[in-house]
Amino acid sequence: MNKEKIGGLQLFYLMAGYVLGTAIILGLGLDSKQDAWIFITIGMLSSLILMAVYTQLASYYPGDSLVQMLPKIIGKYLSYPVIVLYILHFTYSAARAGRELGDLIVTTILSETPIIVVIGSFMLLIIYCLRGGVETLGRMAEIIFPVYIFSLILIWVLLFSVDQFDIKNLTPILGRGVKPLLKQTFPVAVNFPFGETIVIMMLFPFLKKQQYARRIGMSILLVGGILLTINSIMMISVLGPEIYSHDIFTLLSATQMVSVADFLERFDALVILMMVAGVFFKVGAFLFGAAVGISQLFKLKQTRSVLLGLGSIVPPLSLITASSYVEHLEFGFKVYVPYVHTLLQIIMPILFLGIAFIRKKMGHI
Amino acid sequence: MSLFRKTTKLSSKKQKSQQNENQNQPESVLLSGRLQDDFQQIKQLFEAAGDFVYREIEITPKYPAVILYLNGIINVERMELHVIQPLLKHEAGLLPPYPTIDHFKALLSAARVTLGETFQEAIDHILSGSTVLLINGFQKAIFISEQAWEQRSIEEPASEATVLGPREGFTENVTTNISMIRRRLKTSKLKFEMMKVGKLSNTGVVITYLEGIAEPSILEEVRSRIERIEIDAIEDSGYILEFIEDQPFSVFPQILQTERPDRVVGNLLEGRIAIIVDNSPFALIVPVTFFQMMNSPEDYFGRFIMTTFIRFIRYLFLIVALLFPSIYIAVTTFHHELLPTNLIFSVAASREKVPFPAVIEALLMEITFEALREAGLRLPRPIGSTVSIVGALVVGQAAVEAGIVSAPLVIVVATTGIASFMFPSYPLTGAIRLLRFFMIFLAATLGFYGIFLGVFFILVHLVQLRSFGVPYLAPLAPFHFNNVKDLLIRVPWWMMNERPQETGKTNLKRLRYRRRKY
Repeated sequence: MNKEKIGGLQLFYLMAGYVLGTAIILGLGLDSKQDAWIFITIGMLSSLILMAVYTQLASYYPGDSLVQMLPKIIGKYLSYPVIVLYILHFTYSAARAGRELGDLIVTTILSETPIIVVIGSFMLLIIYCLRGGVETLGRMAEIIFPVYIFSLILIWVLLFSVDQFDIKNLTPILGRGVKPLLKQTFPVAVNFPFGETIVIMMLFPFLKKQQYARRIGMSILLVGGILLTINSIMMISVLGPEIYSHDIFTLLSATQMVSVADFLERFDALVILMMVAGVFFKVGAFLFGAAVGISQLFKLKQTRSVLLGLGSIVPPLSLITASSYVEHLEFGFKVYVPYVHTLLQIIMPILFLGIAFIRKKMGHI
Repeated sequence: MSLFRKTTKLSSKKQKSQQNENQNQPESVLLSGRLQDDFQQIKQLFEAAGDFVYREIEITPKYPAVILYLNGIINVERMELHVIQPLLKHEAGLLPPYPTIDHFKALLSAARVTLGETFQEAIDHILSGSTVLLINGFQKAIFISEQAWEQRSIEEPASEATVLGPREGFTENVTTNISMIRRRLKTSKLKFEMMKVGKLSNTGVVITYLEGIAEPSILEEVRSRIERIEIDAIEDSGYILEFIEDQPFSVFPQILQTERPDRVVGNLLEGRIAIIVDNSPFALIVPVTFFQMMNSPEDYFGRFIMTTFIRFIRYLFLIVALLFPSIYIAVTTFHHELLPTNLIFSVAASREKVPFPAVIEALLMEITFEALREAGLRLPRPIGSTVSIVGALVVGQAAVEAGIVSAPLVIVVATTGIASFMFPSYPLTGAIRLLRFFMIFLAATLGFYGIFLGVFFILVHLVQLRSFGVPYLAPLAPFHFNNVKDLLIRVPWWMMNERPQETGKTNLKRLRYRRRKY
């Protein structure tokens, strides 16, 4: 079935873009104020353990995706509800990313356009891309990611020119002590966006060189985490901790302050491009995971019809789950990420690994 | 065991189908050897063909003969000199009392003389410009190939003009075209595989490749795709192109059409395959990538620093040709704030008198421009330039003054027009021109977001495209570091030590890299 393959570098680009995706625009660790970058670093480092769990599971069942290995771990009947849970998680997460894009576009550059048009047209693009399978997704990542990183670094360089840029905004480091920070960090920082890389378990079977799975997974988290950390340092330096913690689209706000020689200004378009690209990775990977999951669950021969169905569900789903963007964020950071993410991305995988380990010891694999 | 049985079954099926084919073709009947019977049968086939000429001669009283040919596609003088004269005026001792066909063949002084024994062969030779000699009592016919027809002389290729490099272009004659390639590659590894396509036209199609460099699997694919063509006539290589393309519904050309023998040779050396079609000055090159379409043959003749610069300009203007009007529309309708204040004031001031929204204005201008371009092509040459002057200067100036379009838009459309003439591949220009309208539509509805979406759509499409199994964006996605040397930057020749990964895998090494010490 898995005729199409994705190269190691392609997977790295795709998933690194996926980690940055919405996180870089939204800003992470808003409650931690000037210590947000520590928050991200801790999140990244602890998510490395999670990635070890994911890749260990993948190495126990080589060539199997998450959906294919679950029946082998917890049995056929118990696995169905779990698989459905994961598919719902992927679908809803794709919808969330779509909503974030839609709201960014509508609040910033297209104030009179209905949000459904923005999300719907974006979903058309995603379906068109995923029709081509994982190969197309990988090659798109290969083209877009360098542009993405280039834009990001360009914005950082430009941010140095902002008058308000002050690295002292980062002080006092750990002003309120380690404890409250750690309290905020776990489990939110681990879950979003690093824990979301659980979708990589749907992509591992397509990887050309399986033996590099762990190396790729770890470098995705490291590179993504380091870029996010630098980004948050830049944002806090420019905006100051107070604005940083209250802003909805921090990168955009920071970029709007850039003005070089009264000519190089308004790099909004670049941020919009980054947002489109980042959400492209994110929604692409999530929807791909969901579609592959569904087709493997029902043993379908192709994913195209599933994609069409999912693609038509996601835009309305992204809108009906929250009446306003603030509500959307609230639900995300207060309910979805701390509880649902923790269950699906931390507790269950570790549980599965434990069962798989015991099964391995007993020789049942 | 079961596998074995299957193969035997298959082969027996094949034999049966071959037998059927033989029965269905009455022309594959052998010549009878009775002159009048054979002659009448051929004559019947060419009954109302006014250019069919036959001449009955008597070599010796015992051996009457008939010469058959089509007027206008053979060289009559040479035929007289090398066929008829030797036959009629041979010295008495040259023919033994009981001559074989080879004795007659030896009499002829023409260069290319062959033998054949079926009607089909005889008819094919007559049709392709050979003279057929039937001699009474022999079941074999002699074919004398003295083709000659009116043809265009070799000229500079019109569609791919360059400043540097060779100036000759292909003509409509396949033999001339082959000779032009052969002159550049004097090696026995250069192969020309002849095929016939078209039930009525019987057009010669030549698959050209370098043995040991071209990928055998791609070559096999080319062969089978051409073999599968079923059509009555091929008028130009464009017909073949549409038949063998991977994705016929894509706007992007997946096969390179070129008039330049040097370009063909350059591509053969990279492991690609050229298809030359009789009566067409355009050779087809497969498989190709997008970036190859963006390269001019001149890139390889000039100095590499200049070439690299030109390539940057070319890719920059690719973006201009595709996006400039849509960016203008997006900025004027949605994102005024993106322009510096002074500039947006002057743009707004010039748009003040214009009654249309920017989209309508841009579409109006773009369509007019496309019309002017087409009109310039169709009109006789002396008038063509007049039309473009009247169209561009007079109409453009008047339209701005009348307040129908704004002056900045004229600049935008003109720049875009110039940009679209920059690409070395004419079919690619067409794709960009079409997609420009797609982008204008998206920009008018969704502004910059629409432009980004459109670009992503195009990228997804490009990434999925393949030309004979080779990804269309090849050295970039999937990425191959070594081939990027000939992408945006063209490294000097002494550093281009490898052929492209996609097509030259069988023989990767092109030259030994050495650091130059002089």
